[in-house]
Amino acid sequence: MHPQRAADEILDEKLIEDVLSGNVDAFAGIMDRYRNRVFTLAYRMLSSREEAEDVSQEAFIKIYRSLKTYDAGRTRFSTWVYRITYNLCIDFLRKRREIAPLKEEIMAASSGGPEEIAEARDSAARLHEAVQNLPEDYRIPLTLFHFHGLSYQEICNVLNVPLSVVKNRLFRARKLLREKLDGGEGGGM
Amino acid sequence: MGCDLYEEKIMEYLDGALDGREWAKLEKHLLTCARCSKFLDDMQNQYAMLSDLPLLSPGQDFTQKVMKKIFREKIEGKNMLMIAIPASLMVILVASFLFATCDPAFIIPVLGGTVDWLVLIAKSVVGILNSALWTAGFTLKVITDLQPVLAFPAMVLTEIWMKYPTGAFLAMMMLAMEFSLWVRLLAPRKSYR
Repeated sequence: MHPQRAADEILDEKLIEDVLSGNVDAFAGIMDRYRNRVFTLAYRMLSSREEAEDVSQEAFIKIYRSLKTYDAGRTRFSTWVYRITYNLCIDFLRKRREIAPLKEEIMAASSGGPEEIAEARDSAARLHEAVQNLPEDYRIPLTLFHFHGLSYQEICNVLNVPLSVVKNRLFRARKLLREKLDGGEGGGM
Repeated sequence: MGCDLYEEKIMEYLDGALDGREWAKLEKHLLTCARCSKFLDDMQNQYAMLSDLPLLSPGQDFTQKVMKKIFREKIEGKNMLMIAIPASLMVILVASFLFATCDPAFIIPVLGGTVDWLVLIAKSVVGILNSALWTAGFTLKVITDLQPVLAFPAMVLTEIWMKYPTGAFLAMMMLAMEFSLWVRLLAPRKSYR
C-alpha cells in the first residue's frame, strides 16, 4: 500500500475510534479531511453549489449516524464516505427529476460554474466545464478516479456496478473529454 | 488488435492497471502507430490537467453547521433519557420545596408565629410523593413516544396527580424548570474543537 494512503487510513481510524468512544468533537476532524472531497463529488453530480452543500451536510450527518456500522476490514473509509455521498446524490437527482424534469437541462446549459472558475486559468476553467458537461454516467467514475484517487474496484463498490462497466465508462469519459477539449481549442490538447 | 483496443490499453497503462506482457505488446504497437502515440500524448496531458484541477470547497461555515446539527442530534437521540432523569430529579426537589412553602395551610401557621414541625415534615413528604408521581407520569409520557405499551401506566399516574388540588401551581413551576433545563441542554455549543 502507498505510505501516504496507509497514513491517511490510520488517521481516519483514529478519528473514527474517538468519535465512537463518545468524543463528538473528533467528527470535526473527519469533516476537515473529507469536506472538500464530499462537496466536490456532490457538486460534480448535482451541478449546483447550493444543492451540493445541502447534500454534503446530509451526507456528513448520515456518516455520523452510521459510523458504528462502518467495517474497516471490508472497505476503505474514503470509499464508504463516497458511497454514502453518491447514494444521497442519486436520491436527490431522482427527486429533482420528479419535481422539475427540465431543471437539470436548463442548469446544464447555463452553468456558469462556481467562483473557482473565475480564478483558475482558462484551460482549467474549460476542463472544469467540459467535465461538468459530460453525461452523468461518465462524469461520476471520472471524478472518482481522477479527483478522489479511487481504484477501479473502489469505484465499483461506490457505484455498485461491475468492473467492466466502470472501465468502459471511464474510457468513454476520457475519449469524450478529449473530443470536447479538441473541439474547443480547434486542435490537439 | 485494432487501434480502438490499444486506446483502452493506453488508458489502462496510465491507470496502472496493465500487466507487463500487455505493456510489451502496447509498446511495440506504439513504435509503429503515430495515431496511438498521439493518443498517449493527449491522454498524458489530460491526466495531468485533471490532477491539477483543485477540489471544490463548500462555504466557510459548513463544518460548524453540520457539527451544530450533530450536537443537537446527540442530545435529542440516545442521550435523551440520560438528561430527562436528572432533570426530573431536580424538578422533584424544587417542586417539593415549593409545595411545602407555598401551601396556605402551611404559610398561615408560620405567619401566626406557631410553626408545627410535624405538619411541615408531613407536607414535605406529601410534596415529594406528589411531585414524584407527577414526574414519573411525565417521564413515562416521554417514553411512550417510543413505547406505546407504557401509555396506560403513564395515564394512571397522571390521573392520580390531577386529584391533588395544589397541583396546578406545582405543574407550572415544574414545566418552567424542565423547559429551562432543556433549553440549556439543547442550545448550540459555541466551540466544538
